[in-house]
Amino acid sequence: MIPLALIVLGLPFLAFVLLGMAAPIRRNGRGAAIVSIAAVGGSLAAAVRLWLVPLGATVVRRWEWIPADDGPLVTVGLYVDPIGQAMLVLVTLVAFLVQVYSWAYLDGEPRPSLGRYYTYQSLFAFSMLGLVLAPNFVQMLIFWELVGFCSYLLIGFWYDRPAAARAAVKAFWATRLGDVGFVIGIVLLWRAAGTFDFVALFDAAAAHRLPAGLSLTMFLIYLGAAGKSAQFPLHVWLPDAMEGPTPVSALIHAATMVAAGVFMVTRAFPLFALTPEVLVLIAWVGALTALVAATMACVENDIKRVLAYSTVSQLGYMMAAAGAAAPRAAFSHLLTHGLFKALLFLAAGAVIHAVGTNDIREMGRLFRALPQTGAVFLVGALALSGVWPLSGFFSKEAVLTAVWDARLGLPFAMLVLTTFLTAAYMFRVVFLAFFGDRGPGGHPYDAPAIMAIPLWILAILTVALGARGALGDDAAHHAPSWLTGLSLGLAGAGIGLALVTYQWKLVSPAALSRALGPFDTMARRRYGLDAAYEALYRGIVLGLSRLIGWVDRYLVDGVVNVLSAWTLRAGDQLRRIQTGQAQDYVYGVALGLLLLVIASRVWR
Amino acid sequence: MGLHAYLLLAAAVFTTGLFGVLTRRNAVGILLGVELMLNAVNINFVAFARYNAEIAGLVFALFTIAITVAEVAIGLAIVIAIFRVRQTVDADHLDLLKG
Repeated sequence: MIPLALIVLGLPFLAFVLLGMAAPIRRNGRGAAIVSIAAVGGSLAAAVRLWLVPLGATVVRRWEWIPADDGPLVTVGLYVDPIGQAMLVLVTLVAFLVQVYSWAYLDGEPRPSLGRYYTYQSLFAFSMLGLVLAPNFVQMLIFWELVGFCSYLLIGFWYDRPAAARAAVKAFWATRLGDVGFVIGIVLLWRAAGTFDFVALFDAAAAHRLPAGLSLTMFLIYLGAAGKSAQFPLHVWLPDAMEGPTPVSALIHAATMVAAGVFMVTRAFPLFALTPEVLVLIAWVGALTALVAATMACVENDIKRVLAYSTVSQLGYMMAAAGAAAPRAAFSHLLTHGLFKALLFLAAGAVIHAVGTNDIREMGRLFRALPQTGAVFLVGALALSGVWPLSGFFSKEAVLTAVWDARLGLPFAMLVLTTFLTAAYMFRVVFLAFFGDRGPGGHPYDAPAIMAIPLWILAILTVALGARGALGDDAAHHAPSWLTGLSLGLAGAGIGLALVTYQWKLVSPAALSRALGPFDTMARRRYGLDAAYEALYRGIVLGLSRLIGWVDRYLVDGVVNVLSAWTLRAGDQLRRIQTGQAQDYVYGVALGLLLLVIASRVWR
Repeated sequence: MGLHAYLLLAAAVFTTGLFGVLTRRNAVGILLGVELMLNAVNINFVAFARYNAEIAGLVFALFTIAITVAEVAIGLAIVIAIFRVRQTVDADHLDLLKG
């Protein structure tokens, strides 16, 4: 059990160290890819093996890290439970498929930069797996920051593009804002409970041994999750993160890292359960995030940004479920979403690869040119819209049921509305890009097999998970039948709206946006959030930099300049004493001698 | 005669020499001033040697005379070399060290 988990964690780390240290392999590019893919492939095999081990209880293994008088202050170790088992399989599977896919997708990259890419990928896989296996908050925080760092590196992978460099910095800053809360929350929790360890904390929570008044602490910990999982209003970094290569978006900014916040809330749920008011807040913020992001996805024309907003929206669903005290529903939506969103991103990557643009208005009729890509994209879009019997339907219904059961009326309404919007914006992309009447320029062709195979695997898994749900082994969660009808009806209505608007053109999109005037404008302006952050940034950060710049330029430099001016002037004055007349120097010597003699007489 | 008289004489010769060194315009005159100062030192050496019945002072005086000879030889050589280059030995015009 534990050795198996160590293999899962260790292989990507070994690959990273090897690629980091052995420059010739890394600079070779293809060699680096083979090392990295082999490592994550081995990791995937071990994770699947681990998944098949039936677990009676949580398995934890700890090693001392920071010893103290009364037991170690901090331990490191491995924590394996059913959630962790499933998450390990998801992470290694998507990482493996993405790395294989990248082999063809990044074909045109120079060799050293390809090596750099795979080095980062290995580090990311290691960090994400470490985050999943962390048995205490300190270790989790370390890996939490590591995945954030990898995200920064990979968003800025094409660092010579100013937009990518800015997006990387923006992602780093926005998530850091949440992480500050996370760190403070962890320390406060330690002060209250005296331990970082999950098992000890959960035991204390179950036995009601934790002091009251944890609301602020849990809120701060939630802030970390909100930053990482792009919850309103910290979601602004995720759409910009699409500047990275598409496989990176699929792996980090759709399937795994952004889900880390949801994963953390799920993992620490026994603690969140102690503070119902924080849970309600989480649910409200989640539902609001889902709705706001869905409206923005409706007006976006960049295929990757549509998917990014849709990711934000689905993360909102997961958080809403967690806030409705249903971590299982949140986690199952995390798993299904991880698969079909990675599928959608990789398929979008194949489209971008084929037509060379991100703009859906410049695409069209791609289904004929790219039948395979079109088919898998359609599977992903149907799953995301929540159409029976695909995986998204079941997890989304579980989320809606949980929110309904928790009697959160307005959040429930927002989530239901989001269901409709989700289907509408996804099929807007489908109809604009894959059908329609205008074709793109050039001769797009289907992706090479090495890109197509990961797509098919993900599509089959999405269908298979749906079939498993349809065959109904999850009897515990019975949705009210009107809810099933409602969500299916709304999804159908969304698809119908997209069909009528973009395929049959019975309603013009312009008329639609006129009818929804203020909403349309607000969504196009992204609710002014980007502008607000920019103003904040300009106001505070740039203002502070100007102040510091002024201090440096006029105070620090001023002192130095005055001193050097004085030195120059003093030197100039002293220079004039030197007449060059030997006799003057003798005068000086004689006078000095005389003064010495007199001085020796006076101060005897 | 007591020691004081010799010391006074030496002091007078020394200051005369120093005055010459500081005020003479001609380089040869400056060298003469230096000679006077050195001989004032010699007078002191000999006077103290007699007064203390100590032979070392006399030995030092001998050394001083020998060194003086060498100094004059070098000094005059420098003066001649300067004269060849600059056509003058006036100390006022020899100000190459001016800062």
